[in-house]
This record gives sequence, structure tokens and C-alpha cells, in this order.
Amino acid sequence: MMMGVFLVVVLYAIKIKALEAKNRMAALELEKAQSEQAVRLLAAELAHLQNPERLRILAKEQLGLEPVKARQILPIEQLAQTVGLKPKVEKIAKSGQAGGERNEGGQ
Amino acid sequence: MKRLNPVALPEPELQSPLLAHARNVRVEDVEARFISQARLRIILGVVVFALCLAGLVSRLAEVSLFRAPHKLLALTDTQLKTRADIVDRNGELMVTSLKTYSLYANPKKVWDPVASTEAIISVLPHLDASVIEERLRSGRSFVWIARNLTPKQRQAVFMLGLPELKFQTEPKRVYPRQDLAAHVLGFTDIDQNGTAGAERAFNDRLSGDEGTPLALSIDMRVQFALTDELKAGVKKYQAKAASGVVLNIKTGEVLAMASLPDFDPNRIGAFPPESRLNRASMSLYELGSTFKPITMALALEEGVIKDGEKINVQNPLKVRDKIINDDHKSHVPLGIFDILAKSSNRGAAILAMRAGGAAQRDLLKRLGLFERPPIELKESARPLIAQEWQDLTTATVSYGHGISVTPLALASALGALLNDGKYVKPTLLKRPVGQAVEARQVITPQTSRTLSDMMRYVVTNGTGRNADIKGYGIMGKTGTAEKLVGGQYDHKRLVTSFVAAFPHRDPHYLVFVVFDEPKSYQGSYGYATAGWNAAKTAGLVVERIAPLLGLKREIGDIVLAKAGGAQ
Repeated sequence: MMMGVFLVVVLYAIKIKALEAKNRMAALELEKAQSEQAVRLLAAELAHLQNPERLRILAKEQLGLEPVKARQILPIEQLAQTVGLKPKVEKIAKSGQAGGERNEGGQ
Repeated sequence: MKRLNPVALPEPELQSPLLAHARNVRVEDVEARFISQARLRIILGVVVFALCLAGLVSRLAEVSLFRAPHKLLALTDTQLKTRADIVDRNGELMVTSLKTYSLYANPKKVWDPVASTEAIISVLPHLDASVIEERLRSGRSFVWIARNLTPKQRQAVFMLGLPELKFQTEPKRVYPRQDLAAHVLGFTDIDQNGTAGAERAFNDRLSGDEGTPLALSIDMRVQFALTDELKAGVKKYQAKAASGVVLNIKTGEVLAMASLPDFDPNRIGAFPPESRLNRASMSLYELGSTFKPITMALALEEGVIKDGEKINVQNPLKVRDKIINDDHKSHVPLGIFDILAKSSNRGAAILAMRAGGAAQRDLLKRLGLFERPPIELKESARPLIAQEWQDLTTATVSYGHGISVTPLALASALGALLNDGKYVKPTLLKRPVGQAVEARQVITPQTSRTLSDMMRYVVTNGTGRNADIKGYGIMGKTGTAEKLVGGQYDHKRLVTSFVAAFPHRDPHYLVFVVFDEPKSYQGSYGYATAGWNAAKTAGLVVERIAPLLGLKREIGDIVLAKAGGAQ
């Protein structure tokens, strides 16, 4: 008799623990679902804020930016031919020479 | 305890007459009786206690072993009917579903319908007071007041403190990019069933597999560039409407598809019904000279023009009492390159008639121009073609009259001509990288190569000069057609179009632009033809999307020298 009572009490305790775990799981799932909803909402807000039309207006009004024109794009290997890197290189070389001369003079 | 017995009395003298008449005497032990009663009570108490304990144990066993488990917390949020998101080819969110709150009422609990209506209208002014009051007076136990309210509106209703009002959580389709790609994305009804665009075309997929977003072939950046330039064009050219398509001709993927006027799917009721028409895939136009590359391909395939041969286009051409005229009249015979570059109707008609109606029909059929474009959209129109194909039909179709197709259909056909002659079905779904593309050979690669040279020549030396953006090797063709109004062509109401493909060394992308009834503008010298509007817009679209698509600008030394000199 006493053994039976003991077993029933143990089983009952286990069952209560299992129910608590299930309720906890359900609460976590609910929290997860709510978090997912929040993420969805934030993603939608982000997409709305990144709407190209909105960005175009802001870029134009705040920064004066316009869509890129073809003439503003150059292949990297042809850049030197158009922006004149050569004179700059010469200048650096000249200043380097000048520095060297000064150093030599200092010695 | 010592057991007590009754006292033993001497044996009566039964023979004695005295005793024989004496009364019976019984002596009882009272203490023993009490003890006996107490024992009985103890036994009864033990039995009752045992029964109670047995009942308790059996109940405990029943509760712990056999009783059904408690119901879990109601997960209303996770049980909502949702729909998969739609993203563009780069994973940018285009459509999603959000939780909203729908307001309903139990009219049986309403004390004063007028006061309740006034209170509701005070926080939800967009509702119709008379409709709300009528619903509150209906006497039913459930009426909708407003669907899909925001959390802010819900809070405002809560603050009213009306017990008859309740909320039900419902999902709502949200289009965060507003009117961008509205015709492609489409929209759903209030119960989340797709009713237009991709929402309708992929309804089963979107409602079946909620977890995985649907990736479209659309590139949001390209879509915006196309829409933005079309809007600017409509404004500048005072066009009634416009549409455009950007195709990847290698894979058939539609990178952008736009139709103006457009609408915001979040507020579908706020826009006129005609704005919902996807003109790129639903409107049928006689698109005019943008058909001529097909005629040139026909002539090359059928071998009806010899190398270096020139066609007499300067002479009048009459087919069945109809005189075919050229807008850009030539006083000298033209070769096949110049026929296309100067957009000679006579030249195209002569070449088509040489090839014959049967060959022309066969090529048009192979290019998919006799069927609705095989795209996933339900909004895809069948072409209008002549029931009897006479020689006049062959002549007019050669320059894009007498056959009405959608811009998407012609864009797909022209894409095939430039894609080494392979026709690829247009699709709105993003193709997985490395997936083999099913293609149908419609013309030879050699003809395709010649055609791309001819279309490049149109842009460098012909009617498409306004589309030329240096460095991207744009090929193109203009098309200007008069609209058929009441059975007569109206020369003041034009449909202009331009097909642009790039880059010339390996055609990969195609842009098709159509303006409906554009007007001349300052600087167009009174012209409203395609070269002055559609070609310009197509060029601007290419200028914006080519860097986005990763195309390297190829600049010759002459251009570089000019650029360097300018600086």
C-alpha cells in the first residue's frame, strides 16, 4: 500500500514537472513568434526606409547627388590617361630630388 | 488488560422448592461492555480511514496517470495564416506579411449605437459613419468594423473603453517599396489570396511554403532606374502612358518590368482601375519599326539579298492599292544595313515579300509572336494577328503594322535574335546559378551576329543615335507607329518604341521602352518620333543600369582623348 502511494506521488511529481516544461516551451515559442513578428516589422520598416525613390529624394536634397553618368566612369587601366597621373609622379620625383639635394647640402 | 469474567455463583439447589420459585438473577460486567464498544468504534474508524486513504490514492493515481494533459497556452500569433515573403534577385525585401488588428463588434451588447458610432469615428475617421451605425444596429452577434488596423489605431480604440468592441489578429500583405514594381508584384485580396501579378501567378507557392521567401528575377535597382527614367520621359514628352522591360537575354530573366501610370499596392483602392493595367505584358500595340530586325533576320536566313546588293527604296511601292511610304526618304538605293539604319518601310516590305508570307509566318511563330508570351504572369495577352495572311499583310508586318503584340513579347523575340539565335522563355523567377537554360534555336548564330552589327549601326549611323552611350556598345532600333483610331491611322497619336541591347561584343541585356502618345518638346524640332523620345530614354536607362549590372565601360582612345582634353 505504502509503496503504491509512494509511486503515485513520484509519478505525479514527474507529471507536474513535465507540464511545467511544456508550458515553458509554449511560452518560449510564443516569445519566439513575437520576436519573429518584431523582426518582420523591422525588416519591413528598413525596406521602406531604403525605398529607392525616398533615397533618391534625400540624396538630391541633402547631398546634391544625381544618378551616375557614363562619363563619370572609367576603366581603371585608362584612368591615368584622363586624370593626368604622370605630372603628379614627376612632381613627387622632383620634390624627392630636391629633398635629396637639401640632405646632401646639410651634410 | 485482564479479562474479567462474571462471578461464579454456587449451583442452586434445583430440587429445593424455595429456589425453584426464586427470580432469575443476572450479573453483568459494565466495564467489559464499554471496552467491547470502544473496540468496535476503533475498528470502524480504521475502516473509514482506510477507505478515505484508498479514495485519495485512487484519485491521485487517476489524476497523475490517466487524466488528459492540460491544454497549452493558446499560440494565436503562430497560428496566423501567413504567406511567404517576396524578395528580388539580390534578396531585397519586396513584399512581406505583418500582423495587424481587425476590429469587430457584438451589436447585441451595444447600448447606444449612435454614441458608439461617434466614438469609433472619432478615432477611425476614415470609416463611413452611416455604415458603422447600420452594422451596430443589425442585431447580429458579429460585425466587422475595420480590418487591418495599425497598433496605434488599436490603442486608440482601446482607449474608448467600449466593451462591445473586440480585436482579432490578422496578417496583412505589406509592400514596403510602395509603387516600385507594383505590376510585377501584384496584390492580394483581404484574405491573402493573390489576385494580380506575382502574388497571383505564384499563389500556391506563396501560401504553401511560408518559410522560404520567393526570389524573383527582378533586380530592384534596375527596376527603379527603368521606372525613374520612364516617369521622367512621361513628364517630358507628355505621354499618356509608358512601359518598359529589361531582359537578360541569355537566361530569359526579367530584370525589370514597369508600366505607367502605376499604383501603390498598399492602397489599391486609392488608384483608378486603369492604373492596374500592366502595359508591358497586357497592352497590344502595333509597335512599328522595332519589328524590322525580324524582317532583316528573315531576309538573311532566307538568303533573299545578296552581299552588297542595294534595294531600290527610292521608288514608290504599291501593294494591293496601298502605297508604302518611308518617313526618312532616300533618293538612292539602300543596302540591308542602311534599310535598317534609316528604317525604310519599302526596303523591309520588299525583303519580306521576297522571302514570302509562309517563311515570315514561320519565323514569327518560332519567335513566339503568335502566342501569348510564356511568362508566369496571368496578365499576359495573346497577340492580334491577321486571319488571312495576304501579300499586303506580309508587307505591313515587315515594318510592324497589321500585327499587335505586347512589348514583352517583342522584347523576348528580339532578345532571341541577338542571343546567338536562341529563344529563351521569359521568366519572373530567379534562375539558380549554373542551371542549364532551355533554349530553342530560331535563327543561325551567323545571322544573329550580322543582326547585332546592323543594330549597332542603327545607333552609330541611323535613327537610334540618341540612344548611344559611349562605352557600352549599345545596339538598337526605333519604332514609331500611328495608332489605329476608329479604323483609321491617326498621325497625331503615336506609339513610339525603342529596343536597346548591350554590349555589342556579347549581347547580354535588352531594354525595351514604349511611350503611348508622346508629344514633341522644346529641342525636338517638332518631332515626337521614337528617336526623339523612346531612344533617349532607353539610352538613359542603359547608362544607369550598365554599371549596376557589372558591365565594364569600354572606351576607345578617341573618346579618352576628348575626355582628357575636356578636363
